[in-house]
Amino acid sequence: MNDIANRKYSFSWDLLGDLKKGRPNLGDTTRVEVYRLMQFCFRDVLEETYGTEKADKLFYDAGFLAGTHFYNHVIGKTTDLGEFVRKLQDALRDMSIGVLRVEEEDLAHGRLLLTVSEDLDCSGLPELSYEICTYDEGFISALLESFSGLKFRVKEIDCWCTGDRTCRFEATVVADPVAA
Amino acid sequence: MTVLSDLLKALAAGQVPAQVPPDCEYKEEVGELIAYLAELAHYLRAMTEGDLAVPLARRGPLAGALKGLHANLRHLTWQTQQVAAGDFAQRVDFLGAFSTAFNSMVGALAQAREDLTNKNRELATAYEELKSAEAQLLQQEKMASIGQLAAGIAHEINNPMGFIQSNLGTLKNYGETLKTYFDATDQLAAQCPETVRVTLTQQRNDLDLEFLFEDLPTLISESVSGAKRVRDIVQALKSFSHVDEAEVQQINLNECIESTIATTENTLRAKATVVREYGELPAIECRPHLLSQLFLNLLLNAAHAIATQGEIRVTTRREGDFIIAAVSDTGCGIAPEIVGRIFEPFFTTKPVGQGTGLGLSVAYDIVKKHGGKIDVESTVGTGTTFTIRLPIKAVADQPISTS
Ligand SMILES: Nc1ncnc2c1ncn2[C@@H]1O[C@H](COP(=O)(O)OP(=O)(O)O)[C@@H](O)[C@H]1O
Ligand SMILES: [Mg+2]
Ligand SMILES: [Zn+2]
Repeated sequence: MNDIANRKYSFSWDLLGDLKKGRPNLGDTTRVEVYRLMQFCFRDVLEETYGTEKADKLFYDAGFLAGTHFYNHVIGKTTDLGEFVRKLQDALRDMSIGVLRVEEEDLAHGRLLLTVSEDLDCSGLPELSYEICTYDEGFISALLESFSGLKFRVKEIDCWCTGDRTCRFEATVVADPVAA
Repeated sequence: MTVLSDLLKALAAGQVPAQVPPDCEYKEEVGELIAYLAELAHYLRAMTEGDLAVPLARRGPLAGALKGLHANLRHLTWQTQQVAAGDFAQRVDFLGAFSTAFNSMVGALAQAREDLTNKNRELATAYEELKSAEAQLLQQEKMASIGQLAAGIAHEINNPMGFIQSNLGTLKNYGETLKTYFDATDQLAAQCPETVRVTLTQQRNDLDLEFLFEDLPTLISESVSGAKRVRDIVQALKSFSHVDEAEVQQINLNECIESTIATTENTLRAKATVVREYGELPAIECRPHLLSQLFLNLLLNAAHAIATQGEIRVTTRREGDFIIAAVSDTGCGIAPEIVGRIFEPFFTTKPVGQGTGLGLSVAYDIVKKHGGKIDVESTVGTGTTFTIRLPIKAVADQPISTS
């Protein structure tokens, strides 16, 4: 967090606008290329300005912020894991973000293995030698934290870009020494 | 070249050699291919044998597709575990016909659980009803036998009480007559010779006649009020056993209650403000004097329950084919351990001479005769509410009986 006293771009859900009113003819969807065009151009510019590591962190943090708002506005409070996963699956499918699966769930030991196929960020990308869904990592970690109240570190371990057809995310609870 | 060609043929036929054949060209690449295929085979075998914990480190489109399948199977496992833990909202959205079957199975489970829950609830309700019906039956039996006893007692006491009361009246007159005679002789004695006078005075003092004539009226009037009390109790017993009945009429219950309040205004006013919340009521088919008796008993109890000053609230309202009337007070309340007994005849917590213990049993019986229900709700220290539910029309198969 930067301590700018007067923020200009502080995010709020309202910023997404009234699409019914604003796009009566074009509707509330756009092409995936447009989304990716923005993503990858951002990535390029951020990397050039701040370096790779910082650019990745910015993407992770932006994903985290988005996930927090997404949980509050789309998923809604629930304490039941089954219900949470179901709502999330439905939302991700309905909004054409991806197809979510729970591969392994061991919340008692703070571990979760999730896969997302047809991921909005990476599916169909050329093969690269690294996982690219940093934004998704932050997004998922915010969802898990909002749901459970625990801090999660999320790492993508397989990605379309690494030749795998589904993205696989490993989520682990991290002890938060500051909060504890 | 033939070695490589043979190897490729074998591979195309699905046979993977354990190691690179000697003298094979592209030894390194072939070795890598064989290792890759062996790893895939190992992964697939584990999956086939149901071991979904074996990972595949390899990447690439082929490995990726297999890992997608693997992920689906593991997700299915997780979903099944969720179902086993009672989450019947899980639905499978892949694997085609399997999904349909799985989803309808989970749907059926959910339905079965709901049916079972409903059945259980019905059973519990039925059991409660049975229990309360049994209790009610017992209560009715008890009431009936005590009613008979009460009628007998009332009858036996009534006759002697009749002449006791009338004799007391006569006795009072006799006393007054005697006193007149005594006063007259007293005056005459003044004119008698000294010796007679002294003897008379002596006798009179010895017999304490002065006190006798003074005490006689008190004794008689105490006996008269005692006898009246006995008559009242007998009257209560009689109405309890319905020795006397009046005819069925159509009346407005609010008016009936209002006139009952009027007859007991003084007693009530000494203890409480009476608050009325009368609802719009249709005429009710009933025996009016019995209902007056019913509300009188409740109102008096309410007044008795209030120590110094409180509130008595009378509410009426219509509820479908019934009229609901309630009498609440801000009195002492009824302890939970005795609340089950208050409708019993002769049950009272009041000191001897103040309670007959018949008020509520009469009330209970009157309500029952009208095909209604009476309930009590009470909190010690806060107050009591008696709620009565009376059918507007006397029910056909349960006419207001005369015995
Ligand atoms: N409104 C009330 N508040 C508290 N106690 C009550 C009330 N009505 C009845 N009771 C209790 O129920 C008992 C039985 O009442 P009842 O049958 O009318 O006989 P009685 O009034 O002669 O005692 C009372 O002695 C009293 O303990
Ligand atoms: Mg009474
Ligand atoms: Zn990815």
